[in-house]
Amino acid sequence: MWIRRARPRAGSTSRLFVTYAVASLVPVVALGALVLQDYRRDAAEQGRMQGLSQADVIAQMVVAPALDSSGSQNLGVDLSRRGLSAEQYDMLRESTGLAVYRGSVQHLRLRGFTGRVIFSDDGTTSVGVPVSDPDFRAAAAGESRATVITGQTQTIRVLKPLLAGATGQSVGVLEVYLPYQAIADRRDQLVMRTVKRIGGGLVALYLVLALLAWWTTRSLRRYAADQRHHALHDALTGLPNRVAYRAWAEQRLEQARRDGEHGAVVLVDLNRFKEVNDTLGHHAGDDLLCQVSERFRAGLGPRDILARLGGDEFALLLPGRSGPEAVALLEDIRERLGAEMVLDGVPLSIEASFGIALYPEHGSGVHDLKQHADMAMYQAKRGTADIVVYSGDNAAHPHQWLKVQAELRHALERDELVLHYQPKVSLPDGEVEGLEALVRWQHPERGMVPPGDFLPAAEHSGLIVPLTEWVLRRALTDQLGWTAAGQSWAVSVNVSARNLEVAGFPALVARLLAETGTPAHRLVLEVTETALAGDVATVERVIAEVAALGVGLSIDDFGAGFTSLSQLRGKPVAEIKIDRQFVKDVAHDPQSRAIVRSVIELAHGLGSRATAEGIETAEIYRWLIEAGCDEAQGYLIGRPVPWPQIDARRFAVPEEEIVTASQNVTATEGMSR
Amino acid sequence: MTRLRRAVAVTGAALVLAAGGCSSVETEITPAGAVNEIGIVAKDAELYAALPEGVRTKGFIRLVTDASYAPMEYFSADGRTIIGFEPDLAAALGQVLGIRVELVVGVFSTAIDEVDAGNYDGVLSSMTDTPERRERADFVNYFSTGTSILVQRGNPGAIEELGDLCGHAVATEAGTYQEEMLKRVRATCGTTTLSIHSLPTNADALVELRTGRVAAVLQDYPPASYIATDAKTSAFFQLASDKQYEPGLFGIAVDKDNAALRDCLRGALQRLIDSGTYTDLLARWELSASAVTKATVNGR
Repeated sequence: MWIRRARPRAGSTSRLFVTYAVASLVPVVALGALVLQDYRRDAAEQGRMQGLSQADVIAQMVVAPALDSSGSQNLGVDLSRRGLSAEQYDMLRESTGLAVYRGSVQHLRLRGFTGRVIFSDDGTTSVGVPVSDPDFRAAAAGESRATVITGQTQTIRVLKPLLAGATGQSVGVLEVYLPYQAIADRRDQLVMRTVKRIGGGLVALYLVLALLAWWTTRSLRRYAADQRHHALHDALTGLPNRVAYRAWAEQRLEQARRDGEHGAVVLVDLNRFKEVNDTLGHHAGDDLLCQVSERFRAGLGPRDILARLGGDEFALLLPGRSGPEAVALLEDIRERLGAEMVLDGVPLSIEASFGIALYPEHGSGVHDLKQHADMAMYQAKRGTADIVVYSGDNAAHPHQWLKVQAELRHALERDELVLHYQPKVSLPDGEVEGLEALVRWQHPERGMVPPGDFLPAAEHSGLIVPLTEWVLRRALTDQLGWTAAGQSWAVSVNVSARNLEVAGFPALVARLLAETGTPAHRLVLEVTETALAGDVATVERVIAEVAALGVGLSIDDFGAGFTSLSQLRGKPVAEIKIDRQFVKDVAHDPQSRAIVRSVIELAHGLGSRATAEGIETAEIYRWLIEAGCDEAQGYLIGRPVPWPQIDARRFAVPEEEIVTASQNVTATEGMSR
Repeated sequence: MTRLRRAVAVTGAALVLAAGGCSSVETEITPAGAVNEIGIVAKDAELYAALPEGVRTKGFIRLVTDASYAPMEYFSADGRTIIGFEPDLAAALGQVLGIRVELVVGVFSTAIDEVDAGNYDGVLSSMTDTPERRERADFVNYFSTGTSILVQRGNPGAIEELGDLCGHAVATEAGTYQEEMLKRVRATCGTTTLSIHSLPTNADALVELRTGRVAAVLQDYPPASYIATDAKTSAFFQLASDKQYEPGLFGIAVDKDNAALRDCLRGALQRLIDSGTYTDLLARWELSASAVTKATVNGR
């Protein structure tokens, strides 16, 4: 089987994550670089500022007093012109010697504006910054400059105007070299520490961001995957849904067209799923669908596609399988489905109808193939074979239901429907007790339409409600006719589950009874046992109200459906009609006999009449009398006919076996309820 | 363009032409010492012709100054350029005379000696014109002011007037008129002593006051006022009182044998006074109160 979890491509999500990660890395790195750069610059600036202030102190406390010592002599324009007096020179050496010795100052030079070295701590005069150096020129113009020079060790070189005294006159340039290694080391250490802290913080921040990005993309990915899965899958069974089926089927069929491959499209509808839903509740219905899906899966191959189109409708695509292969596969699946399953403690077996359309024989498009498979499936539902391969447009089809429904609506208006009545006699005297009204359609073009051709359509639409109303009204009117003719027969009318769910139904019955002046006990409403299991509260209330009118209630087709006996309890049942499938076998099947006997006993126990349907032989008739059955109905006694043709005489059992019924007729009759 | 607009434009052009005509007439009669249309002080050919031969040949004269006397003359931030009222005045005088007038940094107390020795042409250094000095040089008077007492902010020595200086140490620049004044005050002190610190520059005297080694500094009113009001120094200095003692004239000292130069300088100064340039220069340095009305030599 081919169920693919819809997953977005891993590439696109990891690309999204990488995008997130890179996008958050950029500001983090930029921030880090910016902070680091600022910090370094501040540190370097601090070093220079320190150098300048140190040089200021040296200039004012060491150099200026030495130059000032000889009073007025220093006044003049330029030290390069005049040089130092011996006294000034000695004093400078004295005052700088210790600082140089201690290493507080590396070098100290006094320069004239021309660059001439006037004083040097080590006595050399050929050293120093070239005059063309921007720092020297700035110092000659009155500006102080500090530069960090990195050689073997780091040094701050300060060049500043040499202010001789308090007047602010600059007489040259002071060139001082201050040790910076220790400060630089300390600074580097601080920078390093800051880098570590900020870097660590940024790395942590980035990790958090990346984690968030990862988490977000993962959530998004999952959410998207979920969304996609939900959009394409059935929430209950997890199977691909109608949309997904169509898309994948189109893809496969396109491929098959290209490759010349063949295969089958199959539509599956579960039989009597509605009954399970109605009887055991939706929960059981859901459970059933899940189990059915599992069984389907178990029977399918890896390339086959299974989808749930909705309700109890499934679709299969079986690529590469021929007609017989598809049928063989479906037979296997049917067997799997048929295995007993227990829902809410009720054991049941599931049957399904399979419609097969083959490609390329029956079409190449999804639409055509599905329609053909649908037709075949409908045929399977109606006919005896569960698995039907499409064989042309010969079958009545649900798509014709719409047409039928429209026509039926007209039929109701134009009075094209007629009622036939089948007599019901009491046992053992054979007296006619009542008539069951059975609807027939006198179609203007198609002639008499059998009920099987239009009742399902009516049942599927809401048309059954007005139809039942029509039948009820006509039956009561007809009853007036035979009453006037001197017959006191009761009349039985089949009521659909849908009627019981209409709140106004009891009032309608009461009104019709009043209109025709019919005593309530002369009307019997026949309800299938599964109808009792519908919307329990409403149905029970309607039944109680109808019963309160005095109308008799009959359980039709008893034993054929999924009734639990508890549903009979507390209901005012006047009659139980034993399903014909048990009745027809009583002649030769001891088990059927046992069942019929039990039902008769059950009916009597509940205070109801037991009525047997489908009596076709005198043997059965006699057996039923023997079994204590109260009433009988069947071809042996009388076929459905317009009421004036009813034989009002007491029914006498013929001595010889009269075989009048065929299986087919029985089947059709069965549909006529 | 409308007729009206054209008329306006023509009128405007005519006005401009008229104004141009007027100013060109004025340019022709720009008096020597006044600022001409391009901001240059007009030269006086007569005075130039009257300059000593040597000066005309050199094209400049050099005047000694002690640049420690803001706002009269002091060093700018670069430590090398001398700025103040006197450098401006010197430049203006040079323009009137048609030569450069250079200021050379020198020691105040020995400035006249240098002129005597012929090293420089004169002294322009806020030098008070005194009878004693007139014996060695002639003075072209350009400024009028008195002497003030500068004390530390808060006036810890409670000095109100000259008499209060007795019993204190007082600093002043060596060789100045104020040094003479202090000597006279000291003579009146009687039993108490007045210690006079004579220093090479006025800035050195201020250092002494700032560091508390003296209780007061005696100097001319303009620099005293400047230092007591300038943002950088007003936190440390104040005037003892608004009073100015012994008001007198400042003069450019010129060698007694150099009457030609002396007269030329006086003539040039008179041109500046007459043209208003002198007043303008004073105003630039907020010294208008010290203006003289007439250029004199030795007070006459």
